[in-house]
Amino acid sequence: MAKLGPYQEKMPQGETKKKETSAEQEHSLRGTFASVMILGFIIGVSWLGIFILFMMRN
Amino acid sequence: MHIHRLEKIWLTFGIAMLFVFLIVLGISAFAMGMDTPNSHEHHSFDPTKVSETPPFDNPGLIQTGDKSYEAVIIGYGFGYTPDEIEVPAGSTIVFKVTSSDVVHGFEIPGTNVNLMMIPGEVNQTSHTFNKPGEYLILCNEYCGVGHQMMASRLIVR
Repeated sequence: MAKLGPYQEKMPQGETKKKETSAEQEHSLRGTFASVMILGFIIGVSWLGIFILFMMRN
Repeated sequence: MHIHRLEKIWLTFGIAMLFVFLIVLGISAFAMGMDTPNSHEHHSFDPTKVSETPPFDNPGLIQTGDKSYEAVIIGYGFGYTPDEIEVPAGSTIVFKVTSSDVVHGFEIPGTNVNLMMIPGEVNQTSHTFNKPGEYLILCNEYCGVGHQMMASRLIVR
C-alpha cells in the first residue's frame, strides 16, 4: 500500500467517491449566474444604445 | 460531460447574443451596403502627386444628379480644400477624401460621417442632409500645432 501524505486520510474507496459527488452538487452557481447575467445585460444595452444612435444618425 | 443547469442558461444566452451581433453585422454589410471607408477604391496613389491625381486635381462639389452631389475634399495642415460647401436640404453627398500631408480627420458631428484622411488613400462615405443648418466639419486626428483650428463648414439651405 502506498504511503499516505500528511493531509491524506485513510478511507475506503467507495466513501471517497461518494464524498466527491456530493461536494460537486453542493456548488451553488447562483452568484456567478447573476453576475454573468448583469454583465450580459450591460453589454446588450450599451450595444443596442449605440446601434440605435448609429441608425438615427444615418 | 456534466454541465450545471445555470451554466447551460448563460452559455445559451452568450451564444445567442453572438449570433444576433453577427446577423446584424451581416445584414448591414451585405443588404444595407455598409462597408469600410476605403473599400470603394481599390487602389492607392502617390501621395506626393495629390494635385495631379483625379479626382483630387479638381477638388470641390460636383453635382451628379438631382439632389445628389460628390464632394472631393483634400485635407492639409491645417484646413480643407474646399473650405466651405453649400447644398440644398435633402441632398445626398458622397464624400471622397484624402490628405496631402499627414493623417487628418474628417468628422461631421451629429452624423455618421467620420473618416480618416490618409495620404495616398481615398476614403469615401455618403450622407443625406435633410435638416437645414450649418454643419461643422472638423479634424479629429491630431495633426500638428494647428490641429485645434482645423475646421470647416457645410451649409444646408
